[in-house]
Amino acid sequence: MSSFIVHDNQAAGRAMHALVIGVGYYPHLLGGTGPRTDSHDGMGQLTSPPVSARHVADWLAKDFHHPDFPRHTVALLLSEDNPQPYVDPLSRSSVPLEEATFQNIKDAVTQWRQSGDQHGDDMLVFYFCGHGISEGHSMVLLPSDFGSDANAYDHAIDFLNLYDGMNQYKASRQCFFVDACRASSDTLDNNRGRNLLQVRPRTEDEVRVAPVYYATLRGEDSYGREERPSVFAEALIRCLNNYGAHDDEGESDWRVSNFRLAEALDHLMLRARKDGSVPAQVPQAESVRLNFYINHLRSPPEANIYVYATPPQALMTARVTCQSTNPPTVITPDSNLANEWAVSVPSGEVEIAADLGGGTPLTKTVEARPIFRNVHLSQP
Amino acid sequence: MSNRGQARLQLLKDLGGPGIDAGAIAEIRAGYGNKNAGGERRQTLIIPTMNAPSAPITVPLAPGTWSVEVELPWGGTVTQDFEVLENESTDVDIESPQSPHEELTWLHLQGAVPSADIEFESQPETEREAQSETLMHEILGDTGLSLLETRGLIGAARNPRFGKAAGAQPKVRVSDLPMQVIELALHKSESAGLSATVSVTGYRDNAMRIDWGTIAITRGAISDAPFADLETIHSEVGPGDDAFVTKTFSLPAIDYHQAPFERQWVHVEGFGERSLLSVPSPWFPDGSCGKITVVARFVEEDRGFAQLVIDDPNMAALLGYMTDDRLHRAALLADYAQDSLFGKMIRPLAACCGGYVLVATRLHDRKADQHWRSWVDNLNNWFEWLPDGAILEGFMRLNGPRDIRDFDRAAECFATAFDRGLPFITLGLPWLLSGLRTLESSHPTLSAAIPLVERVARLSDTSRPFTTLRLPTNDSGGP
Repeated sequence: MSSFIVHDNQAAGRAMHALVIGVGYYPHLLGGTGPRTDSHDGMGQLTSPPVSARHVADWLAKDFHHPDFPRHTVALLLSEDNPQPYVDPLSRSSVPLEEATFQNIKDAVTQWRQSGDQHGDDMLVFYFCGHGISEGHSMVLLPSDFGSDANAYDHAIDFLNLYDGMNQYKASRQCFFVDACRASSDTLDNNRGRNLLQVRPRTEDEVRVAPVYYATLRGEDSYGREERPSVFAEALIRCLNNYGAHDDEGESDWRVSNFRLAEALDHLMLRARKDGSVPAQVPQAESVRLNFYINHLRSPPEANIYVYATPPQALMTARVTCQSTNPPTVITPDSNLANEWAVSVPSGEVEIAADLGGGTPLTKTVEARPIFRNVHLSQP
Repeated sequence: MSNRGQARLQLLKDLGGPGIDAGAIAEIRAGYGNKNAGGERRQTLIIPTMNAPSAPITVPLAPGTWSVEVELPWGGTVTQDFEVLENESTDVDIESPQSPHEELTWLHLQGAVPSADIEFESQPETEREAQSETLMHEILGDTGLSLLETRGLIGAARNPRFGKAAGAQPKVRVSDLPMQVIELALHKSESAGLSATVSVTGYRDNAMRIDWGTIAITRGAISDAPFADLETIHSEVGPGDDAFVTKTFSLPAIDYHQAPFERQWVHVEGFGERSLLSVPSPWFPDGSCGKITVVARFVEEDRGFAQLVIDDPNMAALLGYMTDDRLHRAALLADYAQDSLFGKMIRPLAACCGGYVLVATRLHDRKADQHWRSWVDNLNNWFEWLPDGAILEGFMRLNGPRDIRDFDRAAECFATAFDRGLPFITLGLPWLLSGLRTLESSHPTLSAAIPLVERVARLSDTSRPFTTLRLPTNDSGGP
């Protein structure tokens, strides 16, 4: 069996084991170089998933930080039109990659869950980016060799089997990120995808906590950007690094919880849509029932401040500045969306000063903390 | 040490009458500059929801700046800063997005209709479509409020297999006992853009069969007998509004100690969709379900959805949180309402809602007093008509076993659940399916049920608290 590990910091102690999969090249779908399957359902080649998967793998290798899980391993499988090795962002070593076929994914899942069984209470992270199909409670993920057999679904993954199957293993903290379309299809009426695992009851003492973060709602599409990380992947990394954090456990102890992550993803993807850069896509989190911390920040996060005015047109000729008290820096707005000024500031007390043309400058002090705060100014 | 003050908190929402004590979940955090808070920097509370400053909740707090963040039952979050002064009481009236229409406020609270867009103007169609997809951003005045946009409810994309509803004139049918089927249909008004009226027609001798293998509806002769309390709340909307139709009705009471009895369903047809909604009846101790409202909402010409809402103020917020799988929030309300949900077991379906929430969020805490487990056992053992009771006990024993025999017992429960029929509560379907698949290898007799449950699970609209199935447009039956 091949090894799919592209990063291992070799630290002692409990570990976070990640399995990252990006499938962009589908030889048996539209635009592919292989025999086309009749079950293509209009699906074709994708450029975003390999880029998205590398983006996520890079973050896990370089920026993931959790005192309870000092060791990190990242396994990566990609299918792309022009295969390239993975370059570890820390060591700069170049690692050849295995293709994200059904069998390779099955083998990688086996290694991944075996890794998680070694210490008894590691954390497991799963990220998939590629084609997906869902209907009601069913969902299948498509590896690169989907459609290679007469029954196309002989090379499709039943995601719910994977999710249920992982319940039996030791790692009680598991995070699943499914960055795929969930558009519905007739073909799921008679097909389920294949099982990667045999599902058995959990006999471990700790109950498993395993939230699932979907890039989009059931029945909806998700969107990538050509040759760039997907909308969801970009938002996910920004949330894990910053906007999903809170300091409820203690001042300046910023941690990303699975609860907060869901809210932050919602917001960031809405913002992406609001500025017109992407179509409508609403993420959905399921089984977010018990709180645990996915990442700890090494430094305080930033928060978004959105400034509005009455009347709205007053902002067009206004001079608005944000003064963060920690550190004391004058920050000017870095974007202008119609009737809104948006700025990202360090967390803390922030003073907003604005001259809306009425003669008297307005000031407001707000608590800037992730995810965002609104500030509304009225022209005198 | 400074003397404490008080904050009196409530979530403002016009409910057209008395508010709800258990209205929403709020988190209070001390401000950055508040050094007086010491170790009490954060609290999680249940706050009332009301439209008048009558009985807010009072919380003693250290003086200084604080913020309150409320995750709304109908989706989204609002945040508000406030100042507490020594020995003084501060009123914190938390503004929130309101219902688009006053008469729909209870539906709005449970997440069945999206919030009003207070800055709505006539917009190009693409923008209107975007608005109607619930990603609405409100500016709530000069209060420093922050709003995480309401998720609301998205009309699920249409499965191409379902296609458009057959026939140019959708029909509404009403039946009486023993086949409890109430049907609503939506008619499109070409002259007024997206608008809808609803018509009601009664039919007698409807036959309907709904089980794991068959969902079939046949129609008989027209009935003259109107159904009880078929009140239309909001049946016509104009262009530019988010288009939806509601219909309210009530049903005869059921003696739920005299099983079996016929399940009650609502069939909604129109705009390219057919939905089958499970009626949570009996709901109240007297065996009635009170007022049921069906909301049929459409966002495009051929894309829409339906949801069923029950008129129970004490459960409204909990059901709202369940609508979007925010069970960690619903759990606090279930804790708060344990006595009314589980006391004497006179409200088995409401108790099941609480059961799903507690089982999902409390199984992990083995050191805590898990007295609620006996309630789950009772739900299964006392109500032979209740699939959800069996599912709950099965899931609890499978995922929170206390000894090795629990797995055998779980298998029995899942088999029983299957025999009892489709669950009333949406969560029941994936839990049943997961349980069957997990125990299949050790209990092979469960295997036969799996394909049938899978097929129905594929039809399920997973974002509703009560089981809702989206059907093909042909009436020939079969999921």
